[in-house]
Amino acid sequence: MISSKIDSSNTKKLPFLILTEKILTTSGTGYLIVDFNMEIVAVNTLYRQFHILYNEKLIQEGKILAEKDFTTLPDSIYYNLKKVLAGHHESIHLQVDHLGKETLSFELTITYLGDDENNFEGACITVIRKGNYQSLSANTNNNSLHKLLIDTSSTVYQFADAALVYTYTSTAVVDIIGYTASEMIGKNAIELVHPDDKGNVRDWLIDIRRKPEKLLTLEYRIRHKSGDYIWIENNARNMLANAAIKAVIMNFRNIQSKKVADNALIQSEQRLSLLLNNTEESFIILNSRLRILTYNKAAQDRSPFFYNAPLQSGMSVLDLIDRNDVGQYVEMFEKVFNGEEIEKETLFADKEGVVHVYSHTFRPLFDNENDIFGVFITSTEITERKKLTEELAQYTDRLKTAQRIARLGYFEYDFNSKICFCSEQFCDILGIPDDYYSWQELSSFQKLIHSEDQDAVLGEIQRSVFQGKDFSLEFRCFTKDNIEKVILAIGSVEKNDLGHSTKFRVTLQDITDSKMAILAIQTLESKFKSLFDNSIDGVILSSATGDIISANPSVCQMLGYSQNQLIALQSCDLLNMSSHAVKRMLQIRKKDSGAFIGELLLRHHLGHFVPVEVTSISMKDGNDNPYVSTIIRDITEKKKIESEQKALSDELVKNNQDLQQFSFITSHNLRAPVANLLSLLSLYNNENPADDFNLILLEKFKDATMQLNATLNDLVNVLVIKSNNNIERESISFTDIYLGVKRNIDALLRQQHGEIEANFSAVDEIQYNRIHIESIFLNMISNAIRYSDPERKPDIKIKSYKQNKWVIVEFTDNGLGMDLKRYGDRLFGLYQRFHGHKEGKGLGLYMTRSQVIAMGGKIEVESEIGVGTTFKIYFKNIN
Amino acid sequence: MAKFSEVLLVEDDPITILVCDRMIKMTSFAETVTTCENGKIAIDFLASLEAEQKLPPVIFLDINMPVMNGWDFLEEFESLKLKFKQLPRIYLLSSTVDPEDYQKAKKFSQVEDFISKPLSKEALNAINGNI
Repeated sequence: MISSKIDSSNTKKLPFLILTEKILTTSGTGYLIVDFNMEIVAVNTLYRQFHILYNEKLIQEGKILAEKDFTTLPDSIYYNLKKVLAGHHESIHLQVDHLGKETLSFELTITYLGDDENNFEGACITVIRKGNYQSLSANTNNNSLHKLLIDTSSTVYQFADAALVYTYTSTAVVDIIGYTASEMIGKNAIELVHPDDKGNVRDWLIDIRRKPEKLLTLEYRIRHKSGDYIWIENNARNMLANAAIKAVIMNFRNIQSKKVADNALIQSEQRLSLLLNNTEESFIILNSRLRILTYNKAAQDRSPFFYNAPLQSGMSVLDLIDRNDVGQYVEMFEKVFNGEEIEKETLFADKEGVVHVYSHTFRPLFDNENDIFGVFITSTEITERKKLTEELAQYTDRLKTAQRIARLGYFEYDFNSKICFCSEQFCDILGIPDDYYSWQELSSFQKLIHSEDQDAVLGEIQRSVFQGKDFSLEFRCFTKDNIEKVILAIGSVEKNDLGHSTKFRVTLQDITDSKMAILAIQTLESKFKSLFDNSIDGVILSSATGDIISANPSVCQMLGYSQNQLIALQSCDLLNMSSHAVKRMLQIRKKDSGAFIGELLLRHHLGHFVPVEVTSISMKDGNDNPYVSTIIRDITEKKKIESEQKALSDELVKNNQDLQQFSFITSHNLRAPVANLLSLLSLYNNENPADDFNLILLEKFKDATMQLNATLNDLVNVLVIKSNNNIERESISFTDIYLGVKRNIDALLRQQHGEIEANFSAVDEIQYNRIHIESIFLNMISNAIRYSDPERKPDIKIKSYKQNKWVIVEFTDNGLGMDLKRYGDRLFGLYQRFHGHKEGKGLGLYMTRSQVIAMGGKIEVESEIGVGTTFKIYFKNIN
Repeated sequence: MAKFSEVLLVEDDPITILVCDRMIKMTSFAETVTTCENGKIAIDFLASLEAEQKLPPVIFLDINMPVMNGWDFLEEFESLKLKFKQLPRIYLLSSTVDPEDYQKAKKFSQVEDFISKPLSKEALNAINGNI
């Protein structure tokens, strides 16, 4: 066997070449062998002579054969050599003639040489000069040498005559088919042939006879003397026409073992290629020079190299690799040739842009002598696996992270293996050391649990385990630092097909903080709720758009709605949107954290408005959503009291002003007569009491004193009226009063020729103070007569009627009338006089008004100069 | 020789009229005293003097009077005075104690002063002294 590794730079002759050379040179054949790179591996003298014959340069081993070496030789040799090397042809025959002194003909054969075992690829050119046979046979000196050669060869040489009957057989025949050489002579060539092969052999023999001098080869079975058939390869050449030979020359050799091996190889190759070409796993085998020896179909799709060129046997993988990666790959291959097995991942995007991930294994190939002669590359697509792995990693990571973030502890108990698993968070939450992992008893956790909760927890777990129900429970536990925690445990039990519990899984969550927060919120909420429900103040919560969200009982009562009715409303339903205060409130609330405090009117369910004091604030809830909180206080009572107070204080102010005015006037009116008295005294002539002027003074002194007296009396009367708050009332008839007063002024009336027309048919009776009403009637009627127009007879009309809560008595005269625009404001003032009459003291109307007001009434006047005056006295109707 | 040729006394109370008249004459404050019983009469009287262009140089004016009181007179006089070149000094003569009255008086540029009743020699001398 040929087994040494070939190195492209090695110029040592390969063993098989030595043998070939021996045979070919002996047979007079010139040859030249090149490797894949056209480097001459071997050349013999005969070929060199042939080459030089054509005046080409001397060629020798180690030279790279190039086109220029074939300048006078036909180009076809070089090109055909290339063709053969490229694998286009197994072998090519050429005939070359040399036209010199004599015409020489050469037969050239260019054959592909491949030796996988030695990793050799190349081609061989053999050259034979035509007419060798003559020289061979003519050289009888060599006969004995030839005989030796033939007899020692394992090949059987035979001559057959024209009838294809053996005339000579070399001695080797006995070793192959058991017959001796002499036994074979006289046998026909068709004899001993396997019946199945006889047809082929016959055709071959016919061919031989028809084609003189042509070498024809056939493989067939021939019967051994023992009866077994043996595979032989027989080469025959019809040399019958050659005068020197006149025979068919045959030589055959035993190819039994080769055939068996071939068959086995073919079968195994078939099986292998079937397997390899159909497997998902791709492989590529490289030789030591990184040329692709073989590959399977799958490899085409997932080569570790680029897609850009289809794989091809004989191709160097370095040509497939991106220039930038060559260094990296060479480094890797070096490692492989040092015996390392290397895994590598590559990424390729396909036409659709989908990225594929491949995993490649580069393994060294060892021959029988444990030398590395190549690389075995297997590739698998791991895109999906990669994705899954990444997803799994991501998922696991996410779960872990989620647990960590959620502070979620995980506990798992396997009923079969009795092993429990606790996540870090689990231990962390329970505040137990990590060596709790080693605690294999479920009940170990028991002592962590708050004694009050132990029964509940164990009961729940037992129920869950035995009945297979999920559970969710809260319990308190103590950490190793004796801190009480509230834990929420959610668990489930897994069952197998038989219904037996197999696994118990629990998640734990520390809800201490949220529990505390909830408790705090609940407390706060219940406080607020009770505040909300029991507050005297109304509370309305509304959305930013005005929808009423919540209303407390107080506001419902205040506005006469039920809670549900209110919640169905919009806040604008309750408000008078055109009111200034409401606009202001909305404006203020628009500002962030704007609080409006003010008084508003809210529409009651019955339609009227309720005066309220409002504190309305825009707020934001926990989720940053705005809402409006409005606190409402019913101020109806307050308003009522306020208005009463205002009326009271108005009255007080007025009374005060009245009193002040009164005091000014009275002091004035008291001072005036006193001043008169003083000045009169100062004018008195003491020296001459009999002075006439003294008499006048005395007279005036009397008048002044009387005036002072009268003033004092008037004031007393006024004071009586003003100070008398509890005036007695009695049932009084206007008719009676009128008649009494009329009697008193009858003389005056008659003197003026006046007439009074009184009509009390509508209202005649009133609950009133008799003295006051007599005084009012007297003043009204006497004024009417006193200020009558001298041109007209006084005509006075008195009538009574009811209007709302009032009883009104109207006094109308046709007197002088007054310019109310001018005097209206002081008409009822004390000591105000508007007519030049002496008898007017400016006290009457003041007194009348005081009397009317003292009884809760009022007085109105209408007048026109020259037409007359109407006084309307409003009496409060006590009935 | 009297200080002033004429004094107009607008006053409804007869005793006051008598006393004032006597006082003015005793002190030779003015040669003549004209009396009007209320503001209306006084305005009418003063209006009648337009042709002569000779208003009394001093007017003593009571406040509380019927028909047209002292304030009404002063308002009427505001338009009347435009017709005269020489204007009188007006003294309010009253026994009022109302502070508002004092404030009110200041609104009228023609009002020289407030004289409390009764009119005294000292008051008349003070007027003399100021002039």
